[in-house]
Amino acid sequence: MDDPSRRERFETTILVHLDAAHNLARWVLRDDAAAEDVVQDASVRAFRFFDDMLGPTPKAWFMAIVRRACLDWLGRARRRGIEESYDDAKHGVAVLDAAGAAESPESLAIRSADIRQLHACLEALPREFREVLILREMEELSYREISAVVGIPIGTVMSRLARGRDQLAQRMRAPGTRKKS
Amino acid sequence: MNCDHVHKVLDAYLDGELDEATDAQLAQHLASCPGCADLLAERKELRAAIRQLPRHAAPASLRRSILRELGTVDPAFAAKRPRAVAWWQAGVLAGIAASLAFALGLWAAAPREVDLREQVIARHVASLAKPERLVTVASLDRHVVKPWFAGKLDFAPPVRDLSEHGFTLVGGRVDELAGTNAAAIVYRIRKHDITLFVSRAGDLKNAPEVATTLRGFSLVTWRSGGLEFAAISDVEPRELQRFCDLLRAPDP
Repeated sequence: MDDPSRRERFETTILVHLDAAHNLARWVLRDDAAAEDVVQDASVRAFRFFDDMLGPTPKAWFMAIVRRACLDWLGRARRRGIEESYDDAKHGVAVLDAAGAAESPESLAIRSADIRQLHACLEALPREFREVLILREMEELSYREISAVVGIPIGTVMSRLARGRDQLAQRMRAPGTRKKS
Repeated sequence: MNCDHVHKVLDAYLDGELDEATDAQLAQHLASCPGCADLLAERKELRAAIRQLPRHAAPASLRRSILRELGTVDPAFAAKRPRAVAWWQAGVLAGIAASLAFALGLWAAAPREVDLREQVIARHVASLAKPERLVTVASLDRHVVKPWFAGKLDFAPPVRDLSEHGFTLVGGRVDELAGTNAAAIVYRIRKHDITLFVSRAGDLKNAPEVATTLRGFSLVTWRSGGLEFAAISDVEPRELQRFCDLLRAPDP
């Protein structure tokens, strides 16, 4: 059953989402090398099971495989003793200091100087909030697609996004990240 | 609608995931409640900021490495799946299906429809792979796209501006479907392309909408006013249905 058009179809329906897949993996794993390894494995796995594709859209199907592979990697890393928990002292604070803190305290007022701070805050967010925010804001997936990728009901997608955004806004306003008025 | 309730669904409102009625109620509340409007403004600011963050695109080396490895994947592997059907079984099944279809008088209609859907997918996918070559009029204005078809086709495909509903007109091109010329009009919503194929119908009778999904694609086909329509995309069926409803709605 050698089908040359199968590979072509895989490239045009699945591999067009490679950037999205890599972006998700990088944000979930917070590690460049691991993200590449995981996306490579997930792509080959997707190719093997391409004929069984399910879910609302090809992109959601592929992202679900990539996310699963990320969680497997994190599980293995944890067993090896590498903690998934984010080290504020190592990453966050250094970036926050470098980003400076001269914003008006009245509103979030996120300007380009704050982008690095936002980057650090988003990286430090718990994974379950980080992943839905990336899927929604950067990859522009619908609630139904996110529900399929993460394996949670659509109502939970909504509440997770709400809580994630709340937490992110709170972190952006947190003392130490900006001058007190 | 009170503020507590608004807070519960504000994110779904921001994300365009509410049904029309609730969406309208919320918009009404926001217009008269500065507190909730501020909260929404903050959410929008946060969204705009997140979208400014660098997206970690796949490095070229990763893409090359994946393509290389795909070449080494044994194509027979896919055929060894437990659910796979051996070729002779497939032949028997096809035979049974054919005789059933014949018995039901579907013989003429069914295979051609399947064939047309395959062609619609193939043409849509081909245009995704080489967007710069296939979208011949890259225009966001229907007053540019529509006249462009004049003189190239012996019918006038409808072109509508649906941008206020989130569907941006990308452009159009002359394509071919089932051996006849077809207008392919490309719209985009949230990074997903929708191709609407319009061709001359062999049959002047209107035909109702048929919505299907095939290999992850959503398809909607119908016939009206002597034209054959086929809309295809990898958006969810519900979203494509919304697109078709808007397209078929009478001009305001």
